[in-house]
Amino acid sequence: MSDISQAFKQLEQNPIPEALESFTTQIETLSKMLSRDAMKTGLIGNIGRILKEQKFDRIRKDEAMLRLYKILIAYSDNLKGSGIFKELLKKGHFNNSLKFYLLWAEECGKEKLFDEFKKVLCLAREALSARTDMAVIEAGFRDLVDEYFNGESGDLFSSPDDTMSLFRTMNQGKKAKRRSSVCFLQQIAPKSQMEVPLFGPKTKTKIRREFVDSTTTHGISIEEYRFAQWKDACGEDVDNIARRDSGIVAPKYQPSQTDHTARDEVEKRMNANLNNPRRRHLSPLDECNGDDEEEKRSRIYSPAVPTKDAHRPPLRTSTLSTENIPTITLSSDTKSVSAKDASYDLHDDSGTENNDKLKFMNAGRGGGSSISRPERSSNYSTVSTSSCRTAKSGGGLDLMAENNHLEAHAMFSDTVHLGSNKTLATADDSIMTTGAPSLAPTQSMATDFSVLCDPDPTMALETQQDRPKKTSGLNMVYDEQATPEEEDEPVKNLAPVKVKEEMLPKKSIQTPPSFNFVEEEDEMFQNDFVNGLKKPHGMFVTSTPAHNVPFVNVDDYFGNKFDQRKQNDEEEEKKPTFAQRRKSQAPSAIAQAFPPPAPKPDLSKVVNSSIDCLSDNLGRRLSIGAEEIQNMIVDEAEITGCKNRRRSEVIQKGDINPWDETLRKKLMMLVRPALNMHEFQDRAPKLQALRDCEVGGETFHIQTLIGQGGYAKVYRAINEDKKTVAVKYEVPSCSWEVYICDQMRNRLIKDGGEDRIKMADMCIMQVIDAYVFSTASLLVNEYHEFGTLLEYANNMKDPNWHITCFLITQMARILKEVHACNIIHGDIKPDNFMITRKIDSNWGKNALMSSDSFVIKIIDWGRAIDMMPLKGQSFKGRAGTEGFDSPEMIDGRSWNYQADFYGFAATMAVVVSGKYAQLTGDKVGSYALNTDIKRRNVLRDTINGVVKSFLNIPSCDSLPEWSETIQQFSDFWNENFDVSAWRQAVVKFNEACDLACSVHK
Amino acid sequence: MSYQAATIVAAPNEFRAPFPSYVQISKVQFQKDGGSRLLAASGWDGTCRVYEVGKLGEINEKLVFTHGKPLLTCTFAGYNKVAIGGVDHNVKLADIETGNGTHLGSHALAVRCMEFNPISSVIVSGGWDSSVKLWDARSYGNGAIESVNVSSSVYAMDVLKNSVLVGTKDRKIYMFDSRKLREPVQVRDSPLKYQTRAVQFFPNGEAFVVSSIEGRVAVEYVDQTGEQVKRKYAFKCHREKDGDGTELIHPVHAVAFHPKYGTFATGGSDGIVNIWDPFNRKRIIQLHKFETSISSLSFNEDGTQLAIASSYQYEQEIEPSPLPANSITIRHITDPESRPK
Repeated sequence: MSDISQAFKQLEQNPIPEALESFTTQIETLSKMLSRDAMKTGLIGNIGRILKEQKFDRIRKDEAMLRLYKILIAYSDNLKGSGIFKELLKKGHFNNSLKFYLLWAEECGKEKLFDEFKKVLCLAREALSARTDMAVIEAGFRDLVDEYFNGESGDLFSSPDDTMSLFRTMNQGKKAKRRSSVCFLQQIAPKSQMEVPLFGPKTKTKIRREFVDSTTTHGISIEEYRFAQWKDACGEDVDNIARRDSGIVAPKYQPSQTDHTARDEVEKRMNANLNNPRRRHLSPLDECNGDDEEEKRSRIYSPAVPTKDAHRPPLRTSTLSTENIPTITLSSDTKSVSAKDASYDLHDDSGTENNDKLKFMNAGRGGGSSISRPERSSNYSTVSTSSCRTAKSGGGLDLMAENNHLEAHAMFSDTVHLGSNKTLATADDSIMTTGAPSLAPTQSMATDFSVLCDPDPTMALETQQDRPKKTSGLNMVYDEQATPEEEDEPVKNLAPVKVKEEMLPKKSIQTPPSFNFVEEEDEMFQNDFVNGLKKPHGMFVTSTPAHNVPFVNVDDYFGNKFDQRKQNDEEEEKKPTFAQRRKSQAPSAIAQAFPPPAPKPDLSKVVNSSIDCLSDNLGRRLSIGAEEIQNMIVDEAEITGCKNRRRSEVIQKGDINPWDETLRKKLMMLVRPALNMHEFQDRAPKLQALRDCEVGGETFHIQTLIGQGGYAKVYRAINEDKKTVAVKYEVPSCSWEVYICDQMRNRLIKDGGEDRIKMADMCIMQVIDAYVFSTASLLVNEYHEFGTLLEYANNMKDPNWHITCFLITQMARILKEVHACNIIHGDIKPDNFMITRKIDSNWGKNALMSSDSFVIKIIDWGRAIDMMPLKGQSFKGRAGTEGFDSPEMIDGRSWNYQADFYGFAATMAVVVSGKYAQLTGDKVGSYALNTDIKRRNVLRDTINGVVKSFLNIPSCDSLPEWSETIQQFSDFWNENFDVSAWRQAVVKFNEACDLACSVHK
Repeated sequence: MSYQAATIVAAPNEFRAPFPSYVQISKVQFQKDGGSRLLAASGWDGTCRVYEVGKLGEINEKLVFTHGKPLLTCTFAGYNKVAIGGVDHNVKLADIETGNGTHLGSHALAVRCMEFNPISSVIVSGGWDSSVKLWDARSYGNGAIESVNVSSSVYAMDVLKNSVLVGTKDRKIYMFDSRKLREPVQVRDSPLKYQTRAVQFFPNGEAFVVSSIEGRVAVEYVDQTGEQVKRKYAFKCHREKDGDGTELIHPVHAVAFHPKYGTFATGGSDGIVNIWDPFNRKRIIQLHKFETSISSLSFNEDGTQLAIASSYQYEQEIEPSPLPANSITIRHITDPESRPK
């Protein structure tokens, strides 16, 4: 391939003005490197293509093209410069470009064609006088006359020269420059005598004299000279490029002195490490770098963008009624349900349904809609009276709980808080008139817990007997059998309601007085609502190609409740269904439709106070104000086209981002929230080592920080029962992990044999309690003192193959079930496997496949992907854990479960060799890990085989089978098992555990 | 019977980057953090190319960022960004993964030098407008964080941790602390008599090296008061002696320090790269002659590879015709080639 076509290739791939400019500069250089013939054919061919092919439409008329033509002139034998410019005039590409006329005139000047020069000047005047000042046009021509025609302009120009000069100074900035930049430079450069050697006697040099300092002037630099040459070549006035910014903002970067000492400390330690080449321990790989740091900041502290909180399903209760507060902390206490709440629920629900329809008709135009459908207005009034009551009781509480933060939160989240009685009244008014009670969140936790109990597998069975197929929509857990299509159809039967009914303590049920009325209303609107469902709203992921995305439309999903209601009206009357309850919480858009009615001055005060509050308490960057952060984000959005893009999740447009907040939110809305999750609107309490910390009524004594990741800190703490627990403190708050763990467990248990149930207990992280605050979330997990597989790998030198095989097989067995539950863990790495206990030395050969012998547990589900609703979906882009990005992610191929397969392979490499393995290879088939397995290791071939197959998965349709891998290892185990070696290995393993244990204490 | 002459192959310790020979190179730089093996090269054609350099010398193009106007400098700014600056006064930040460019702000004239301070994630740029500016590599859109004027156009610059070393047209050497840029920590005259081409800190920060267009390199100590002042020295290099004793003097365009041993490589207009031992004041090795001037040099993080940009700088009075081809070479540097003896 010739140099010219190589240069052209880049322009071809990316036909933008910048690339054209680059191409032109390259051609200019090439014209001095290549022979005349090669250059000419290449140039003519390429310019021809630019003129003909459609993809170059954008650049064809760019002024940089003129530079190309200028080079072409040198190679034109017949047309010469003036001929080429005449042709260009016919094409009309540059008819409004002064530069074009000047170049043409220059060519005329070179060829000494004064008549044509005059013609060009006339043409330029004609074409440009409308938009450009005549003086500007003529200035360049004047220079040319001076240069080529000895200044004999005759009556060429409109006014005498001397008056013109007056204006010329004025317009200097815009003047098309004709003077040579090189000449200009040479003038200011030091002048030295040609005869004298530049660097003193007995020296010589090849470099230009302009570079060498003289006694009076300093030499110009080589680059400056080259730049002048370049400027002359393109005839461009680069000095006058409009600058977008040169201002300096006040210094924001003022680290404190303590900062430095800390930094120096770290540097010192790092240097010390570098100088100590002894065996270094593996440290956990970090998921995020400094870049994320910034991004995190903007996400957390920017009041301009909704906090992460706002992406989650709206928090249940902005206005907790007083009697409910204890129930929240007592989580699963089902007895404390209040009938009043139940009645509110129903009202709220009916209101919300209406509201859903109203959304279509431009929410907030209540009057209009009630005219068109007069029968509805009666419903509105009942609803709003009851909701008024709710609002008032809620409002009172709000007053009690009112503090700076809550106000701030109200401003920046979707939920509206009403600060005072006065504003409350206004809110009520708006509700009355619009018929859209924005009080959905007044629901109480207590109801939630009482209505729904833990899904009991046996109950589920019963349910399915009643109505074999259609439970899907309302079951607490995804029904694996149900396809998304079914979900669109109205469900006829509502068995779960029955289930709930049975589980409810009878004494807590009271029928609210206004109940029947509402029920009738609901029936009346049934048709309307079904119609409404047909309208496509609430699409799942908008930027995704809709095909093969079995998306679950949230609203459709719950549409079936009307039919349910009709059929099960008896039960229905007493308790709202799960679906209704969820629905009532759902529409955050309603709150947006009705802006908080607080008076304006208050608003600004709230904003200010909230910013103060945020920055006072959280701001590591005090100097950055809200606006700056917003600018920053807007800027980012401009570049990337998407807001809040995480560095670590480079997702192309049009692909599903499996970690997308809104996607997660929607998925979480489809099921009932985990029982052990407690949500609060407040800000999270601070955790500090050796302090007591009270969350949701429970007190934890924080002992020490035991781990820290990109988004979370893990503390060891002692709870009220004197039990040691691990508290994961995640900023910003993330309830997804709770959801996934809950789902994982439910799916394992639901149709599980003994094996799966045991696995759910032993091998999947269990969230004992989750406290989700607006700023952060606290996950209380079981504490395991034996450390992670990473620590094990660090503590263990050359582990026996028995142990390696044992651990690998367990990992594979667990992951098999995880995948069988349609969940991708997404972050499989050695530090995400906890060792839960020691290996019992009495276990023998059978322990490998036994369901009682699990010693590891998968933790950290924060990056898990729920594939149940995304069945068959694949993703593109990277997850961002350095070294644990699968080849698919790196290649940009689509992936789903491959992420875990790769993570498994990489983890296996660490377990077996104690080192992180590097991914090598560049295409499917050639990927490998440079695992450093001892040649004598008997497992070597098996592991390498598995690694090879897991790294080179051709597509999402041909995923490897876990059972095969497990079989491979267990076959090997069974053939080669040696009791005494195993015993010794177990002792070693337990020693490693003890070591980790002692480190932790 | 006759012996066939052995075919001369390129030395196996050298690898050519797939860099177009018709692009004039202004600067090459290895990424210095995170064990990555990225190499950025800015060119006069307005492109910045990023290459992935393997352990064995396999080199793949990762990104071509097209800016349009000639680029005078580039520097990695964090693990996934590269900052560029050129004759159009602008400072831009390009994302290596996505290829997106962000405009950070601009100087009043061309941006000549750029370096990155990873400690505080700050890009330092110096321009012909006699100013040195700091840019935040993480939050952009606000213009420069800080700016300070020096006495003349910036011609050379280096950054080590928080120290910024600036060589200007009027042969002054400025030392700044990027945490408080407003006042220079030190200002001194260049130890050399002619235009400064490059300045570079020793890895330990105690001293620095200045090279000039007059084939001369000086070693200066930061501390101007103590005993060390006496240890400063300058030496001639990149010169050719004729038969009659006249010296042909070539500018020293590039200096790069070995990150571990504190030895440094110089590259001159003569197309030669020398590696020097500043402690024993000896030359360790001279590499073979490249096609044309060495415009830029850069060691990788662990000092096992040296990127050599050979590119005609248009510095000669009589322009060579045809123009020599430009190239980027990765030279593996062994321990004996870089360790002080």
